[in-house]
Amino acid sequence: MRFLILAFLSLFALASFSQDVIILRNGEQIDCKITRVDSAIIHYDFVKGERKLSSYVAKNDVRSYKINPAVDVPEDLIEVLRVSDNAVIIDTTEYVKETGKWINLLTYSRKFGLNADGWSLQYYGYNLKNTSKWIIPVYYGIQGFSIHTDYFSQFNYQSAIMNYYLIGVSPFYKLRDTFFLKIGGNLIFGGEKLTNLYGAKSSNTFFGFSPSQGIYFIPKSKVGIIVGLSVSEKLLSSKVYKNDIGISLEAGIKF
Amino acid sequence: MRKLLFLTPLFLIGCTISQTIVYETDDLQVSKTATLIPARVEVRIFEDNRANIEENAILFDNPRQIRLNGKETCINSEKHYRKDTLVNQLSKMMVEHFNKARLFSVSFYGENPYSDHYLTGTLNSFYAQQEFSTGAAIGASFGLIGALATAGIKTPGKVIIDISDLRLYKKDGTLVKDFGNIYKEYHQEFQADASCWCVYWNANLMLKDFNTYLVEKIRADMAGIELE
Repeated sequence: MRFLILAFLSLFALASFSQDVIILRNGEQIDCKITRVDSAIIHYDFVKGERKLSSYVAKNDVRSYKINPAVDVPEDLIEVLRVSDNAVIIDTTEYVKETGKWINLLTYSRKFGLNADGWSLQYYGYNLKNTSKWIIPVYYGIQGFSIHTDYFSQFNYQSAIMNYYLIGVSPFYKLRDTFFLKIGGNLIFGGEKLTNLYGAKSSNTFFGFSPSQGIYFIPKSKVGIIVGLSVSEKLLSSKVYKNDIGISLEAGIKF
Repeated sequence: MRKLLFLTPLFLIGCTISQTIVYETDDLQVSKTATLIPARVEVRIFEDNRANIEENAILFDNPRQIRLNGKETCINSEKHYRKDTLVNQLSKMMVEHFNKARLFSVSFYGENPYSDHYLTGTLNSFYAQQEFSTGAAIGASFGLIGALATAGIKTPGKVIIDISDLRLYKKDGTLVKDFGNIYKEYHQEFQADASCWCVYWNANLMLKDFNTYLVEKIRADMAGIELE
């Protein structure tokens, strides 16, 4: 009985060493006989049904491969091989080539806030890399807004002219091939010229912070239409526009 | 505008009812170290064995859009290939690829009096399927803008190319080299459209990859073989 078990285990060991293995990046395993490995391709033979076939796989698609000793291993060496695991495992991560392409987006957005409505025209330019999920675009934009009359009237001013600058980052995070999450944060600094109800003019410097969160559809094609929906908030030290929250609808072109 | 004009021919090609096996060969790169095999080879029209392979059956009996395993699926149905048989087109494309890649001194399509060798093979599969894209269909219903917006959509699919008994003979019938059976399954996300024409183009693109491999395999297998 003991002999039979040992014989069975030996056969199992032999079988397990009879094949090479290629593990693809998607987790799929190919049991085969690797015939050649060159700079970009792994060539292998395998059996499908009763047919012996030759095939290949690009190293870009391979996580690792393992070349095992030949099938004709003398029986007395099986145990040695099993213990030492004489196989070669090579990680092919290095073969993933980083590629990048410059993407331009030109968009127009309408903003609808609790205390002000507005518009903006913006340009985003970024290098889309295949190896990174984060994109940090270059951004230029102009924007305008009108504070709601009912909100403005509580501050006892008849008019206000505000000019401000924004500085910050608005990175995109790749959710899927065509869907991106935009998480932005901007520091605001600027000045406002105010006229009170008696006609007296004054000026004020203000600071603030404006985070935003949005989801964007950006097609993979070279040219295409992009759309986005985002929520933005504002906290300001202005005397007439102290806070806001609103949504933005954005549409534009990718080129 | 230039890009829009450039896109127009693609749409027209996409709407063509008869599909051909063709792909761009101008971008094929020949390695400086690659050796040219000194033979004038006629690539004889491959034997078509696809009808005898079970998985190919749906290509012959169905339109290009079918319901497969509960999902709307695009297939490279035989009905839309141009009148001359698929193996003719495939052999012709192979000749063009071989010549661009400078595999042999020269390759000819079909029998040719100037050849000194000939290559034969059997086509067992040229099969393509991919999930139908509902997104592309919705995009198409919005006209050009919708089509542009959804132009990047891809769906999962597979392409199988199976050529067996690929052999090089001298013109007198002496076997020079048996390259064996070459089989490749591509499982990936493929470009999709609303009309299931892309599945034909995707099959052609995978054939380009397959033929590129074939060139390198033939070159490697022929290394050290003296041709008189």
